[in-house]
Amino acid sequence: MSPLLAQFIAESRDQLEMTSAGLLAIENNPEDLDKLNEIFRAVHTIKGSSGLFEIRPVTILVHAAEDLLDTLRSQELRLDRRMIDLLLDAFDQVNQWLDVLERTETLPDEFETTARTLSAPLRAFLGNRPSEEAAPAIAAPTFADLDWLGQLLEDDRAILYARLAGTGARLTLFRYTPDAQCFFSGEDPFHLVRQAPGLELLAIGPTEPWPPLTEMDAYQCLLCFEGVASGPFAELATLFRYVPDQIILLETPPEVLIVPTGRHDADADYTGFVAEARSLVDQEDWDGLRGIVDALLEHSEPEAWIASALRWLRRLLDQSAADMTLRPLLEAMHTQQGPDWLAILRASAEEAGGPTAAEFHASTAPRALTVVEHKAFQHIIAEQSRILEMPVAPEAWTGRLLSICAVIGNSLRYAGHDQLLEELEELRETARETRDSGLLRGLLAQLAEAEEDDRAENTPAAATAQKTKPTEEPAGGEKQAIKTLKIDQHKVDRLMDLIGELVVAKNSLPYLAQRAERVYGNRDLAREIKEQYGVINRIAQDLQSAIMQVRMMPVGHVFQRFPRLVRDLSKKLDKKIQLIVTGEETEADKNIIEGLADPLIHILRNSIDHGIEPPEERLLLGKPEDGSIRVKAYQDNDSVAIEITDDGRGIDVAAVRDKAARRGLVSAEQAETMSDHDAIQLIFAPGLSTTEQVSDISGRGVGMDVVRTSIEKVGGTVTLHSQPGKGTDLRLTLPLSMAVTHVMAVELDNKPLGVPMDLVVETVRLPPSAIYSIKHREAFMLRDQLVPLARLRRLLNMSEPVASDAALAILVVRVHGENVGIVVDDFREGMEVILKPMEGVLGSLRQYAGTALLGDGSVMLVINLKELI
Amino acid sequence: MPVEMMKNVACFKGVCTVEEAEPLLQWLQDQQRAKVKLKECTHLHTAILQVLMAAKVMVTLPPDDPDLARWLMPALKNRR
Repeated sequence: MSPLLAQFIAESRDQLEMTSAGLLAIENNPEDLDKLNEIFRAVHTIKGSSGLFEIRPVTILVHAAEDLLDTLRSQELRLDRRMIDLLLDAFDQVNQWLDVLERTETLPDEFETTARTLSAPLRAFLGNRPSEEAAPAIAAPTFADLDWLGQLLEDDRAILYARLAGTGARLTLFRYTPDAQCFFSGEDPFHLVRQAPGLELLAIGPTEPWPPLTEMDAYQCLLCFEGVASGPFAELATLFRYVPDQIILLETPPEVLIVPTGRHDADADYTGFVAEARSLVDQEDWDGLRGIVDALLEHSEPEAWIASALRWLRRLLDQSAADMTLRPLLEAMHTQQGPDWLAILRASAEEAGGPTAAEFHASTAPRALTVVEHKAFQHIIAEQSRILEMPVAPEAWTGRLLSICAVIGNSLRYAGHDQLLEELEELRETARETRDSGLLRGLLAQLAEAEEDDRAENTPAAATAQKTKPTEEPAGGEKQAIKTLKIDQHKVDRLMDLIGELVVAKNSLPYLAQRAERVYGNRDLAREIKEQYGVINRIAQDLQSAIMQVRMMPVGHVFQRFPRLVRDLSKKLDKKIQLIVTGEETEADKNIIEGLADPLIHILRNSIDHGIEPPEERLLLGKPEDGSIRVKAYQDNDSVAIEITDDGRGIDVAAVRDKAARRGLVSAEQAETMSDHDAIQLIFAPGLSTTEQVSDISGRGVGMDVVRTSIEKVGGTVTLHSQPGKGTDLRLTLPLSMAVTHVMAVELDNKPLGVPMDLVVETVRLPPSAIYSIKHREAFMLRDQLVPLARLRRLLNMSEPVASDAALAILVVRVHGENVGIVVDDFREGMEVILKPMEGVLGSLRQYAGTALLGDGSVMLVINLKELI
Repeated sequence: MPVEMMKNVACFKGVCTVEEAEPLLQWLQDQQRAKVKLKECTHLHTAILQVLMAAKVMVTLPPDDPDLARWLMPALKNRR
């Protein structure tokens, strides 16, 4: 799977979890706007990221949810329970799809139907609101003037013009100013420009004077590309679609190429010439005009501006251009300032009206807003004004002000109100200083009302086109360092393995010290090695505990699912239940936490289904109508304890006894004589469920034994107390971490074998005569108790040593709640090891819990006594 | 390596990528009269282009690639 998709799945799951929790929270407290915003943002993120992949169903459904949340957020709709139900359903579906996505990396198309079915009721709340927001695009940057065309060689321009004039072909002018940092995102602007369809002319220049070579930063883009292309405008727009803020595109007729260039002669006055030329144009006396142009051209220096202008006139005459082109050039000669094609085009476009005008407007500012755009503009202004009035945390005030101003600024630019930009900036600074946005709000109110009039008065020439510069806020935001890392668990596991190896390597140092002393007789060296060992030992231990910390996560991670579970189940069963969760922040190893989820949910279901009585019954019993379930987690020395307490009817001991006897789990007499406490423990036996009726919630008879097994799998224990009529109390005790296991090493056939330390009760040495044989079983007396005896060699199918009178080493362990003596060859020391489970082909050897590496490099097997005995 | 820098001549070949820009800049900083041969060059990255422009280097052999030569050479001829 691509890392991007994997990340999307992981993140979306987190977001969905947060969303579900949030929805439950606002169900009880619909006024909590912060929470609603939080949910909206999470959903928005999922929708946005989903667009990166071919997963239309997710996008469709999440989008519907997002739209609904958005209206809730803006308080256009009031929240009701049905919405929460539908939203929860939708997110459940998305969660399922994520599972499918994780397995197959794609979503079948038929899911789209499901997505539409599920989103229809969500959309129904929205009424006839449009599903897509009609937000106008960010104002497109435009050219301030076209004088820059002059830097292109006159001859080149002339050739191009000659080719295109009169053909009706249009040119696209572009100015591409790449972002200074663009090289870092892998862009090559020059390459991009070379791709331009029908690239005709190109000028490459620095955006600022070249710095001295010694101070230059090669990876800071300083270039600006300006040019003319004859390819279709749409294709150019497509080419530059990824750099919309860095590109200016303008579609023009080829006449814009007519820009006289050269040295200006301040003293020269061509009024007479221009007047004469004009009259000749009026008379359409082209030959006459050609004559005076040639005459003046002969007397002008070729580099002079006027010569350039005359040459253009000559070319136009040669191509029998319309006077529409000649006149602006003559006008320019009069003022000695190059024809302002931008203004001329605009004016002619306005005169002409119709599609050409619209076309022109589409690519240059200022634009007359269409009715729809105008509505959107007013909506934006009103919206910003509303946001400005909403309460906000003091630390977020400035940020909000800046973003609002950025939005308004962009809208103003789009609408062509560039003259207001300065005022806006002033008001923004004032507001920042005084922390009072009153004046700004005034401007907004004015804008919202007066927009209509402005629109009428707005003349195109009033505004100067500007490039939109991206606002600075996002850049500032990115600089904040990310302080949380998401790391693949395998990497942490690898680190853990390495530390394990370090511990092993470290443990070989004492052996080395011994050798130095015994073999080489060097005590000083031995001492020094031991000192070094002490240092390395300390570091290794710190390292180990540090990596444990990395793997720790709060149990709240599992608890998050509870509110939803309780809500859904209690609704289904018509019970009223309050869930009280405490100690979510208690931490434990990730594997343990994850192993905890299913058992806990099972326990909770049992409590809701069997424990808590229906409201009427509770009232009859004099209990509060609402049942309560408390989940409490806390750290208890080296372990984590989780208590689940309910105030329901408790476990029916008689029913358990009866059923256990009927199922043959215990004999009838045993069932009779057992204490209540012991009888209740029978619910952990496989195949026992006390309710007669099997519901779809719990009670399939696979319940509590699964809970016990999965808790024991992660090295924990379960204890249960129940009082009839008062409730049940379950306590799970779990180790903080599974990484380090305490084992007691014993010797068997000269090899060490590990026994989990938590099972070991004591060690005794007894003469063979102290062993009783009862039939073919053996036992011995230990402090007036008969303890059954097993021989490890026999359990492991190894040959027995020759019988001798030497004392037997007996390890007394507690397995399945009973003491058992185990005969081993000898005892060794207790040690801490990193237990690696048996893998692959050896995985099926259940007699062994795993292997551990020892300090001298040898491997020790750790036996699984629960399986062996 | 597409850009081969010798005593005072740098030879460009094929597509010259962004990684070449920094070594080239350093080379140019030490050269009083640097010359470049672009004959076999088919494209050079914008970063290289701007370094060449800033250094106002002399191009002794323009690219054979007509397209590249057309857009590149005017930029490398110091207009001002």
